[in-house]
Amino acid sequence: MTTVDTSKAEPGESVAGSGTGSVRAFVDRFGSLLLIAFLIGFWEFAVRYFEVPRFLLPTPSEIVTLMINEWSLLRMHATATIASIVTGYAAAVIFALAISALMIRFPLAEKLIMPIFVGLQSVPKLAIAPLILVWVGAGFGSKVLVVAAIAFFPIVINTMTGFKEVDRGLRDVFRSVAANERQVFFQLRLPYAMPYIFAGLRIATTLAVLGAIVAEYLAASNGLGYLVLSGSFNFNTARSFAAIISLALIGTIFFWLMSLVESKLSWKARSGGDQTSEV
Amino acid sequence: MSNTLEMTQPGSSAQVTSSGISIKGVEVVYGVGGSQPVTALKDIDLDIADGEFVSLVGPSGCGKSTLLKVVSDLMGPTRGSVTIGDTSPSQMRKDGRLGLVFQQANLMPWLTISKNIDLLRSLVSGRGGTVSPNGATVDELIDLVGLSGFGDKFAHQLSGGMQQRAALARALALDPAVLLMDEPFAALDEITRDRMAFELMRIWQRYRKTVLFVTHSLGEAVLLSDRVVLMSARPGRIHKVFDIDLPRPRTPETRLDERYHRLVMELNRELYAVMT
Repeated sequence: MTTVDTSKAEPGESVAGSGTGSVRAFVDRFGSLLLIAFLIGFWEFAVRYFEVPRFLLPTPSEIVTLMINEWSLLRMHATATIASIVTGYAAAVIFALAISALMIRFPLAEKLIMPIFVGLQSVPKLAIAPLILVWVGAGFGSKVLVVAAIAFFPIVINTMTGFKEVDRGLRDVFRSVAANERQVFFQLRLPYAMPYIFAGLRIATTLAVLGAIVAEYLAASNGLGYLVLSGSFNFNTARSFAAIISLALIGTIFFWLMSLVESKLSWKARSGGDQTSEV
Repeated sequence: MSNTLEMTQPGSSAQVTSSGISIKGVEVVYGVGGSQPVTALKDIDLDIADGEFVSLVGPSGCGKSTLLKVVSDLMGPTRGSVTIGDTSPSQMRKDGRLGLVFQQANLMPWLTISKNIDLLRSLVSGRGGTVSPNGATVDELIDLVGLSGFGDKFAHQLSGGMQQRAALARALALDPAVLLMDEPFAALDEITRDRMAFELMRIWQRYRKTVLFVTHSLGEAVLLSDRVVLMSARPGRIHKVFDIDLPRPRTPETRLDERYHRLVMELNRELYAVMT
């Protein structure tokens, strides 16, 4: 079967049969999980063995116990955080897509607005968060605004890149039948830009979570960010850890959901199918 | 040039329409009003009969692709005019009667092959235009270009040759008045390219569309065409027009014909003459 044994074999080609091959396949698949399990075990052991004060570092088992015992508290704060993330993110998506469509439709608007966006892109948005709190006041509104402000930019910039990079050849195909502007936008630019838009949307999920946490650090009486902060103030480190783990889960699920939507709506995800070499 | 319909193809099943092309005094100057305007095309006069297959060849920079762009109304001439049938290229474009095939297949990667083939038709009807009722169905077109069974695939799942077949089917779907092809096989390998040339012959034999075909392969031009137009560069002009009197249908055996070789040699000699 295999005539040449190259070291850079395709990922799909498994080196079947040989003993070292199956060990390698096992490590490839479960290696990182094993390593994580080992590190958690080591953490548990080290904290107990060296008698580390629990307000400095709780053991993993204590964190899990606390998460179970304080489940309703965690759920309440998680709900507040998720609500502000989702609201802010949705606002950012709608606003970013609408303004991108507007800029593509009216080149003058793009000329005026886009340089501002590009400039603002390099400003660390989190630095503005305290000002937003001053302007809007602490509470749900300011949290949503911080999330929206930070999630907005990667979406708008990626969307515009996608809209503008439409292949010239594809545009000529549309021109060859005098397609109108609406057709060019909905049947060429928008589908063409999908992979770009989703790249922006994925980056924005991570940033949205970050924005919510920072807003809650600054001034909030609820949310997981608040819980992390209050936990560490009260030397209830286990509770801080529990909140951090919840945040990590929320961020991961959010990102994963967005990838799921992408696989349904975007076309790059469909690539990688069978290649046919026949004429 | 009048739009005289000569249905020379006996037993042609489809009711197809085609039109001649008339190019009169076309001149294209890039950078008009600038400090250094470049004349890409000068004094181009060419009449292409209804159902005729004409190739444009010439050294790079002779403006053969520019001329095709002017005929397909992707670019306006600085001077002169083009008539397709009894109307302008821009009207033809608005009517969705220009069948363009480019060097790249330019298939929409998010659409299946079937949807790609139907795209131009749906764009024309989607903006309120009328689609020629003589166009074949998508399934017929898929069979015609030899892509049976690939209708639900995406472009990236097809080879370059197959993608170009789909692009040809997409152009034919409009029942175009003329087929304008800009080095359609240039991106393909030699063997695929050869097969595609004969496929095009077979399809052209059936539909007898007027074809304006840009290529840099002299052999391909002789094999396919009724006439080959040799252009010279800087500025792009028509140097000489060759009548290709090889019998049709052209087959791989045509390549063995002594006249074929004589014509290619002659073209080659002239090509070198215009390049020096």
